[in-house]
Amino acid sequence: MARYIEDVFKDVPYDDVLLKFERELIEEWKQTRARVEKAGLADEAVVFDLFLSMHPDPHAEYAAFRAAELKKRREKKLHVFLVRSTPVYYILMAAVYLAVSFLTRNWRQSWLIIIGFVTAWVDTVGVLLVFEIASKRRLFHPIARIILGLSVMMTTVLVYLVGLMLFEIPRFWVVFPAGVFLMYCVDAVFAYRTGQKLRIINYLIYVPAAAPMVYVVLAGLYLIPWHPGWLIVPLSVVIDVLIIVGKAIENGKYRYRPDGEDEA
Amino acid sequence: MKLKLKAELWDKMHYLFRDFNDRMVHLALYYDYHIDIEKLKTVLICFFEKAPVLHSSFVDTKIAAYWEVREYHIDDVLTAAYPDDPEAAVDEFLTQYIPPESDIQMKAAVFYHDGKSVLCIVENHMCMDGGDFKSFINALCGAYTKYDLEGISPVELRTGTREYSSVYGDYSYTEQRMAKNLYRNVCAKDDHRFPLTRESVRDVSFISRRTIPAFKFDKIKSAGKRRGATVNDMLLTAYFYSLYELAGYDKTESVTISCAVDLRRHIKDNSGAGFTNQTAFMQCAVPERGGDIFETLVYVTASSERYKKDKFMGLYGLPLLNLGYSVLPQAVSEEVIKIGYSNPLLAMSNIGVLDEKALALSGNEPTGGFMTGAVKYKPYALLSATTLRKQITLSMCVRGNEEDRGIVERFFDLMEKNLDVLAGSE
Repeated sequence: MARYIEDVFKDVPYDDVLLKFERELIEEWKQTRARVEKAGLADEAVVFDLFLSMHPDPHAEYAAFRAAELKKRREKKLHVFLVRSTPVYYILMAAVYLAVSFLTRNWRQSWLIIIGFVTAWVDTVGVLLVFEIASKRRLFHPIARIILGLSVMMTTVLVYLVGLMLFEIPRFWVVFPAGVFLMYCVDAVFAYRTGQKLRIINYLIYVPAAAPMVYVVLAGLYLIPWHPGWLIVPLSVVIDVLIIVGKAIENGKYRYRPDGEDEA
Repeated sequence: MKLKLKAELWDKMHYLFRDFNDRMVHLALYYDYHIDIEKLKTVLICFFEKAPVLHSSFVDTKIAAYWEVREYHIDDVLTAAYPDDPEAAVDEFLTQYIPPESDIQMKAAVFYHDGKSVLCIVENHMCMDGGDFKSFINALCGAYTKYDLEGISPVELRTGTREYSSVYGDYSYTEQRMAKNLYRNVCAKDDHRFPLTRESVRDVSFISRRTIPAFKFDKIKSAGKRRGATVNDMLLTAYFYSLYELAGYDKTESVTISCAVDLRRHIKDNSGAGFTNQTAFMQCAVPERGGDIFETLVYVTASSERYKKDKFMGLYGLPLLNLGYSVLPQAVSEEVIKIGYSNPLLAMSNIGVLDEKALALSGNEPTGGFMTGAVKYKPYALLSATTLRKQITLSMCVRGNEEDRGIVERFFDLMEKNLDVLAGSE
């Protein structure tokens, strides 16, 4: 088998990826042979042909293996970088915090640097985790959604603290309902991007749930009056109805009538 | 680490059918030839390797369901025997049940008698339906022949996806959207039943069959052609009419029989697919018995024509089932689907022609044979039909008693009589 594999890939540039692929093939061959022999197959030539038939296009298989392996290696590099850079990052954070604090003697506000650094780190790791989890089975997707929600809320807290401590913006509390609104938006995007089934139900819930947040933010910033601005909330129900009608119209375009009245 | 295979939609649906039938598909082929058991073992091992679902155990964790590939020995799959009464041995072998949790999902036996052989195979319907079982057995016989006569390794078996959604593959985007929007419950809503006795713990599985002689096949076919009907329509008409006679339904009552539809009709090239289930049911109904059997034939032909005109024939209800299985945990989805699903009390599966040339072993064509569906639990009944060498074999697999056997035999008598009338022999 080793000779056969070497012969098949003799024209392919040799590197550690090819070596790994060949080793995996050899291992699979050993396992297949052991398995079929245990099942009662004694004809060596048939075992050999059987294995070959399971790999009808070894070059295409290798191309897919190579792409997956290189992607895995890139991800591994990123993980190693994250692990190694984390202590450096936090030392840097401490250094910046202490330097700024000692130089400016503004200890009252300099602690925001720590919050900023920690939030940036948590968000980065969170987003990477979300990408990784999203590629796994749907069973794990709720974890990704919780991470996304937490990241949004942590960022909201940071923005609020910065606004409050550095700029003393009046009515800056509005970032909290804005954060909740953003959380709904991010979750809706996640559901869309991962092709979640029945995500329309999520949207129909999120619209009326997000409407009070929009109302509070806009009214809190005096962009709309509190009265009749509250109409945004019942308006969200109208938006829901419009979504349902829109979806029904879209589905209607693809409704099939067996009697020949189908429309496309 | 144990290798797992995805449990596809139809695997799970047939698993759900455990309350209605034993989910076994049966095949028997008769040869005037001594099958080389060792060569057949080699072919089967290769095929089991290429279709690993055949040596997998179905795991239902209540949250999810999947197949777990298991080790096996070919002696657990294939047995050889020299029985004094081969027919009794065939019946005993075919009426066995393979639990889905078993390590293997297909069993075969060769019975030798007077220099002849009978090849019998039983497989779990969760792995493949009659359509693919026919392809499988054709490939098995072809591979055996090439291995036996030419020494070519028996490794030619198609592999690939087992997904139900393959049926949409050849459709345009618009057609796919249309087909995937067919959220319709297409269950039979007819209370007419086959007149079997009440269920009892003493009931045992049996397969009753009746072979219509080859000389009648052409008569049935040409008589059907004259009336714009297919052989399937003729069989179905005889089924309806015989039922009216046997069960004594009022002739003004409407009766519905669910007929199996091979969904591969929607797939242009099936060569890249694995062995799986692609069968749905269409409801063939007659509004009344009609004055005579020819009037029943008119109703049957009209009913089946209506379905044939439908370009999405058999695809109704698939999106609903898929939705149920994909958004809910296995145990919950089963309960939800059971609420909306009603198993047809009367059904027919015309598996079609068994090609004697493709089924030849080393140049020896089978002299007879049949394939039949699962053993139904009362009150459900399924009539299966296969044609080999122009001989139509009607079969019914029932879990019942001797009285039920007599009722089924009486039904076959009526079927034969009515087919004769349709073919113009009477």
